[in-house]
Order: sequence, then structure tokens, then C-alpha cells
Amino acid sequence: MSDNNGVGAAVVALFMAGPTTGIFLYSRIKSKYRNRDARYKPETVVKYEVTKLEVRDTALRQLVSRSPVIAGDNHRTPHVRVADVAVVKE
Amino acid sequence: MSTGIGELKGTVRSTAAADIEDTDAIVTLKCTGCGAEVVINTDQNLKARCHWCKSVLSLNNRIANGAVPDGILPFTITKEQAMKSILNFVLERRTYASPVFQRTFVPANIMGVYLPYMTVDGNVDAELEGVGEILISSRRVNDHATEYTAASFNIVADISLAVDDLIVETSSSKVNIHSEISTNNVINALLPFDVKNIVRFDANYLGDEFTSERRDMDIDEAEMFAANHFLTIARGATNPSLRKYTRGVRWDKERLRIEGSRWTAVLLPVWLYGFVEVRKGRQITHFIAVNGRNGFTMGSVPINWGKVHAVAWGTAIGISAVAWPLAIALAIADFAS
Repeated sequence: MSDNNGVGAAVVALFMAGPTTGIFLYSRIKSKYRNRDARYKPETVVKYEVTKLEVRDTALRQLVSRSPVIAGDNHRTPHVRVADVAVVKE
Repeated sequence: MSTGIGELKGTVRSTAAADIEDTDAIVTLKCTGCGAEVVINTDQNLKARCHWCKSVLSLNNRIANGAVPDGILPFTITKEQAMKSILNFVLERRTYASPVFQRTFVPANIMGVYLPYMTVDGNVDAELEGVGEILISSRRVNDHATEYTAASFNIVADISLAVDDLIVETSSSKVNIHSEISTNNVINALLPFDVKNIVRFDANYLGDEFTSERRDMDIDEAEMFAANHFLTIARGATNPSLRKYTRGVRWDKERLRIEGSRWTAVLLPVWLYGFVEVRKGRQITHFIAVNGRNGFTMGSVPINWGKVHAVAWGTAIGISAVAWPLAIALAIADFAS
């Protein structure tokens, strides 16, 4: 059974090889020439001082998932705003 | 860091960061030499000569049309250095560059421009709310799948920050970095500048070599962009505290309170090369820009789409022409056995 699964995976990989390579080349060229992701990164280049930081958590539940990461993981993209944002000024 | 940021309350504006009262670029000055009235177009120049006595007039006094900032950061990168930078940038991208662009690319056409920004010090509080997960165990279900057992937590982070010299664009034509018609993100990527070295504005810094763009955004309009950056900084600053959530964190809610902010209007030096591409009836302005202080270069080079499609999909077809018969043969052999 596992031999069949290994052969199946190899067949899929061979079918995907061409289209995947084409998409990869297209994306790489577009990225290098257009630089659409280039931006000011205040989270790394602006000087700031943290005068207070408190992180509190409350246990919710235990879960089982087929994904290695939490759905919608966004802590590595601090420049992307979430849907629910509010700003007030004193 | 600048002093007293943590104690800032309300909005503190420098002289030239006050709201624009008059959008007219044409201003009339009285010559201090002979008293004649001289008209200056501040969109084109911040200096002029009195046509009667030849005294040099300059807008070092505040004019309420956004033309005169509090400070300016003079160019340290020369035109020759900037030309070399953009030439190298383009040479690294010549393979798939648009032929029209390549034919008309003249590095000497680069322009030195002082662009309007505001520097912002902020005393801000942020509250972030979301969910984090900690991995408990994992097990392989079959050759293709793994099952992960995790503990889920509701997370609330309260963070207070004193932010020093955040920089915000104050030109409405440049502030939208997601524009589809102008590659403004390229100019945005030149930030930061060494704004601690800013000097008091003097129109003589412009000379005859450089032009300047007038500020056309007030603090009320620029504030939303500053708030966006404050939240970005707050999110980044909490990350070291999130390491225990081994499966990651999803922030769902962001709240920002700006306790106090201090704004200063400045002109910052940029070497700019522009190229207008017309594609499918639409005009897109591509910029290649050089930070006029440290030489950092970023740009967008228009693409020869025909060549890119040919190479990308030609490669895909070529690889498939070899791989697909192999895949079919492998599948048949596996089925037969």
C-alpha cells in the first residue's frame, strides 16, 4: 500500500513539475522587476520605547487540526491590518 | 530619542505643520531691498530674484500654503552617484525589461526632488486581541497527513509605546502605496531618512539643481497613515512575548489610542527617475528612486510581458513534455503490477 502511495505521489509530482516551474519563474520575474512588496518598515527601522507591555491569555479549548499552524496566522505580518480596527485620539 | 515623548498629550504642531490655509501656489512677496512686489509660483520654485533690484527673495518665512517646511535634509548623494545607482539597478533587470523602456532609458534624466513629509513622535497605547495556539502533540495519520493536537488561548496584549521620528508622506500623489497607476511604494521603501540631521529650512538648499513638491495634506489626513504605522510597530513589539504560542497567533482586533503626538513638516531628498508605461490603454508611472542621503535604491522596471510569458510557459511546456510521458508510464506500470 505504501509503495502504491509512493508511486502515486511521484506521478502527481511529475504532472505538477512543468506548471509549477512556469508559475515560479513568472512570479520571480514579476517580483524582481516590480518590487510590489517593497515598503517602509517602521516595525524594524523606527526607534521606539515600550513603556508598558502586558500579555494575558485565557484557555479556550483543546483542538485537533490537520494544519501545522493556526488558521489565519498573522503575527508575522504586522503591517497588514485586521478587519476590526479602531483608532481614537485624546 | 527625542525628549518627552512619553509625556506627550494632544497634538503638538510645529510652525510649518499647521493646516494649509491657502492652496494657491502663487504667492506675492515684498522685496526687502526695494519694496517691490514679486510673484512666485511655489510649485516651481521657492526662490526668485526681484526684477527691479536683483535681490534674491526666498520663502524662508512661513507661507500658509504648505510650500515651506520647518526643516530640510540636504542631498549628500550627488547626481553622478544616483545615476550610477539607477543604471546598476536597471542593468540587473535588463533581460525582461520592456524594450520601449530600454530604448528610452537615460540615467541623466534623473531629477533631484525634495518631497514633503512629516516626522511624528507618538505617545500611543494599543490593545490587541486574538487567538494563540500551543502545540501539544502531533501524529502521522498516513503518508499524506499529520494530525496536530493543540491548546487554544484567547490573548489580549496591552502595549504603550513612545515612538520617535516616524515618517509620514504628506503629498497626496505619493501617499497611496497601493496605487495601481503609480509605483509609489518604491518611494515609500526609501524610508527612513536620518531626520535627526535635519536643518532649519532655507530655500538656498534647493539651489538651481533641485525642485521641491509642496505639501498638500494636513495632519488630519496624514494621521490615519501615522496610526497605521503605530499599529504596525505595536504588533511588531509584542512578537517577542508570543514565542510560547508555537502554532502561531491570529490577531482579530486592534485598538489604538493616540495620547499625544508631535508633528514637524520637513522636506526630504530623493533622486527620482520616472517612466510612463501605457498598457492595455492604461498609464502606469514606474519610478526608480534613490535615497538622497544614503544612496539606497529601489525601483519598478516595466516588464516585457511577451518575453516573460514565452519563457515561463515555454519552460512549463518543455518540462511537461518530458515529465508527463514519464508520469503516464509510471502510472501504467504501477497499475499493471
